[in-house]
Amino acid sequence: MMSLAAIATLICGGQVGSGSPPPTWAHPVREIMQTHCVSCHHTNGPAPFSLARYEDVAPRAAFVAEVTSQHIMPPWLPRPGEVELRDHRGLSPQELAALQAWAASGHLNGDDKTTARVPETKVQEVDLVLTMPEAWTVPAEGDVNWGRRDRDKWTFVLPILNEAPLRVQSIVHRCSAPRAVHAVTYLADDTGAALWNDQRDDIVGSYMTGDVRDHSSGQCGGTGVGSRVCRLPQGYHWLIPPHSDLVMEVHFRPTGRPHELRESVGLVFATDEESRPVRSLLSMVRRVDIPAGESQRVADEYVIPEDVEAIGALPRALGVCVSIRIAADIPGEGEVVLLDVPDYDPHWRLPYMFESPRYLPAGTIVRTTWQIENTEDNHRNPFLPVERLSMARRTGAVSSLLYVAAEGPESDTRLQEWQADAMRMRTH
Amino acid sequence: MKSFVLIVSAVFVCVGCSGGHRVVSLPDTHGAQHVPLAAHGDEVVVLLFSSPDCPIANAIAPEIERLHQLTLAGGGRFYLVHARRDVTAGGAAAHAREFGITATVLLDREQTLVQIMDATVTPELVVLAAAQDGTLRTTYQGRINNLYASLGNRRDRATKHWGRDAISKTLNGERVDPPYRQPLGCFLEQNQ
Repeated sequence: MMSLAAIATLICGGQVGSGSPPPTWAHPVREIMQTHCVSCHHTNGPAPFSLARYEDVAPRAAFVAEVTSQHIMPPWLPRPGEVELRDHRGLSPQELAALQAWAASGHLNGDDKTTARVPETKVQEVDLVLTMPEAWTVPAEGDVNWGRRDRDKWTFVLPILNEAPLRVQSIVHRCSAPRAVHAVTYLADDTGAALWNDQRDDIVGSYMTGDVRDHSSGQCGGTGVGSRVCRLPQGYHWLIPPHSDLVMEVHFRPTGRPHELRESVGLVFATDEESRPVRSLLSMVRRVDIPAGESQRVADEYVIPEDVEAIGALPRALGVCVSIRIAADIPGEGEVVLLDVPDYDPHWRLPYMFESPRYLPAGTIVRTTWQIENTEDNHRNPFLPVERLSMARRTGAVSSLLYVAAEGPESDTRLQEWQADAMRMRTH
Repeated sequence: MKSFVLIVSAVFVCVGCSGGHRVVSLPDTHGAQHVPLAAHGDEVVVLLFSSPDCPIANAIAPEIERLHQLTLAGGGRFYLVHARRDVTAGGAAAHAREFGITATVLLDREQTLVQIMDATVTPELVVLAAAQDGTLRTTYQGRINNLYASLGNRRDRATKHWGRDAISKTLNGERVDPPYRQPLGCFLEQNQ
């Protein structure tokens, strides 16, 4: 890796910014912090320290340069691809170089006493608020749960008590422990199965996935650090059937001390009469069986039976999976990569919405591949020491969701029937 | 290569104190002064460099307290060392309370101890034991466990506990092998 000093020489010496002054807090570091960092890194924010003031950033200049150059921060998993993603959080090569040069050149202030402005948190008006009936405590550190599947997640069930269907355009997560909660995925369950499971003991929530029968958590989107609102584009909604419960799968990261968790979820209803329901098409490999120390690439594909518009996608897998790629083979057009996550981390599992809906005609083949590494070298492998990995799940040992909307009610009905048939074929 | 066998007394420089050794005296959160590198018989001394806002250090707070208790049980001294100028006594005390750490917390605002021990990140562990000549020698320095595989790459829980092993072995008079493991964490950058 190029040293910070070498990068500074390159930039300040003219190869990157010929004749330009060395980077300072005044320009461009403060703007970079303001654009990419302080929405989380502010006092009492979800990130561990503030990056709003020069005095905050300068003592961490080398650390900031390191974690940004390694693309650890800002957290953003997908590789830039053919389909542009909304709310992109990555830094540009110029911004990365500027941060490294700033650290290497002594983190100059540039006579700027101003602070990176923390974006105002817009008070999102919601139509319905669901709150956990009682608190649950996030432990201080990870523990072994449920055999060897020592993972940090918990599922909660929030009764909606709706008599009629709800058309939800946005989900707003009000997080009570923002430093501990990394990612949350949602599912509307009208079977009562999730509530029954939760009520089997006196503990609020359960150590189960948020999947219910054939339905995958994330069918109603997800939220996480830096993205506590999951918003569908105008004209689309999630349809929540009558008498549903909102099932919330929470992935947390212990911070070294306990946190009391009592989450609220706000639902914003769609106002557009022409709004169309979003369905989640599931790619999955139901069973994987991989010897200890070995890697395997597994794949799934299906043919979309109706013309649809793709809105976004949600990658889903355990940490034993290191990469996920979703591609569409479009008739007459060829392959388009919809989402490519080369370094998957389940604790940053978020839905990625496309900048604009992507038309996929009937006959489009959706291919998803997962690279699974059941090795010691896979640092996110939760199954250590490594042994044979044999796991199966009704909704997929590895999976992903593609959010789509059919063109009209009849097409939507056919799409649902096709999806139900496909699940029956797979699970029986 | 980093010298992992460090004769601490050898790097003490006379700064107007008797005995020819620089006495590194640091305040705790109550203002009391401590001389962490003073050798008292065959006592084991454990230093753990930390930072109140480093998530990598905070994530192992329960383990830090376990290491503290392990050291105490073996008759040793354990210090949590904050090495940033902007860490106040009140802030450090509040941090210790919040994370359940009962060890003595030292404020190394001038990074004196950091430089003597050549610490580079938080969290970083240094285990010292008295040699036959009465000087303190480093028996282990570096990582506490493998909770983090690399920056940004965290396991659900640690599966290797090098810090515990190093302290236990040092308390038992055994050799720690290897005596140095590259620490991983938030950089200990120079004070502004």
